[in-house]
Amino acid sequence: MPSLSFTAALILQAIRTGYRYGFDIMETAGLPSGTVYPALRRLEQQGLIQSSWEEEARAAAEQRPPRKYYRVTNDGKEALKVAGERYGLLQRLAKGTKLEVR
Amino acid sequence: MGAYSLRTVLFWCQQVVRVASWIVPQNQRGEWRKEWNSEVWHWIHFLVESDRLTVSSEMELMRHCWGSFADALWHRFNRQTVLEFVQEKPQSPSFLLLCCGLTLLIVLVAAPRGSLKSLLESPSYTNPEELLIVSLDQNKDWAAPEFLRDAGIALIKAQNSIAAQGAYAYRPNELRGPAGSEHIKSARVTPRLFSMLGVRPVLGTSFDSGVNAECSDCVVISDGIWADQFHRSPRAIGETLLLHGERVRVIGVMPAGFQLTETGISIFSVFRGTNTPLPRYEWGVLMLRLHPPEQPEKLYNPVTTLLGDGGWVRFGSATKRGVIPRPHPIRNRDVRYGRLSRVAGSTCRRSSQLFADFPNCPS
Repeated sequence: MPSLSFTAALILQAIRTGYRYGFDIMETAGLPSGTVYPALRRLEQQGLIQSSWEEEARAAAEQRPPRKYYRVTNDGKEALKVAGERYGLLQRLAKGTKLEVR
Repeated sequence: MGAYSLRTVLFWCQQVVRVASWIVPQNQRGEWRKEWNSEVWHWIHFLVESDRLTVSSEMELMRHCWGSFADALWHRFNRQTVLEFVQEKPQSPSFLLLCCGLTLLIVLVAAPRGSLKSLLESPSYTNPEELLIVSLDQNKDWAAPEFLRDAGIALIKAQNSIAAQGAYAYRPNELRGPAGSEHIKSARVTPRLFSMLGVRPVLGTSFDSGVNAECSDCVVISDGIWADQFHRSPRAIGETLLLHGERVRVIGVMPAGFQLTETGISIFSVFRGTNTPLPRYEWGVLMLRLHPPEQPEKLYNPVTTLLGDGGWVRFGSATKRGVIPRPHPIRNRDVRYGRLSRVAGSTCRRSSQLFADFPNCPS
């Protein structure tokens, strides 16, 4: 199980909380794009998150480009659990959120 | 915020992402750009729809787009790939050979051309120490520089102990170039003088090659003139200067600090035929290089016979920066041989008696 940095854990937590694409994650985590996107690549490379493209037809129907969505894998959930024990603040933030945890 | 501004922001963001995408490996580039363009599009539309597209959010959006470079760099050089590379590759001999080759290539490309040339090429002489420098006493009678030049040619034919010889004639001169006029010292040199001293130009060539050896309008300039007139530009080669009103072409640049026994010479041309005599204005110097085991003292007699009683004989060393006269190894000072009487006449005739093939003496 890879050890997560606080930033990576925060991004993972954001995805798990329901913020599923890059811009949304940046907005909620308050991190710059230069940090978020490389972190997303790294998390995906470690198998903690998985990405998938939105269906073209659905995006076309709404006259917008398709989005790339991220979701936390089982390994990611485990890693987040370990990180939560390590970063107390993260755990408290996660518990404090009003959004539904997926 | 109008549609114009929105389109402008979107355009510039897409250009930034496009440039950053060149860093991303080709097989991932398409998808990478698609994701970034999509993100930019959604962000802009979110800002417009929520009426939050202000100057500050516009700047924030541009910062977001600049972030694509960090992401692109991650794709190209992500830490894990680098770590794997560092951990695995150095164990292979081929990788070490590749590193050595690359280092050598970088050195070859980055090092100044002149220093590499002198590093790779062996000097054209084997005895840098033993130089015999013959010059005339300027307080006494004057002789045309061609006299010493031709004496050197005659000496090398008559004396087995001499390995090589070269001569030069120096004079005050006026130089005009792109940066203006300068009062300088110029010298005419025998074609192989520089190679005899083991010094090569840092840029261009000298008079060694057959074509340049007879080039009447070719000059080699000093580092100082290169700096003053051409700001050390490599494009100085082939440029023209006016030396005493005559147009000359630069073919080479000598190393910084290079000097002959007469210091401060800034421009060198080649001896050709016999110049109009410039009595007491242009002075000649002859340099003789001895074969390694030879003792310079052996040449005292022939040289003093040549000079009569009006010249100087000194020992010197040839270095990469030219000639450094040095004290006499025994007496620890320069050796002076009396006056040179009527060089152009009597001494020359005396020399021609000594050396069968000594050139014709002036009348």
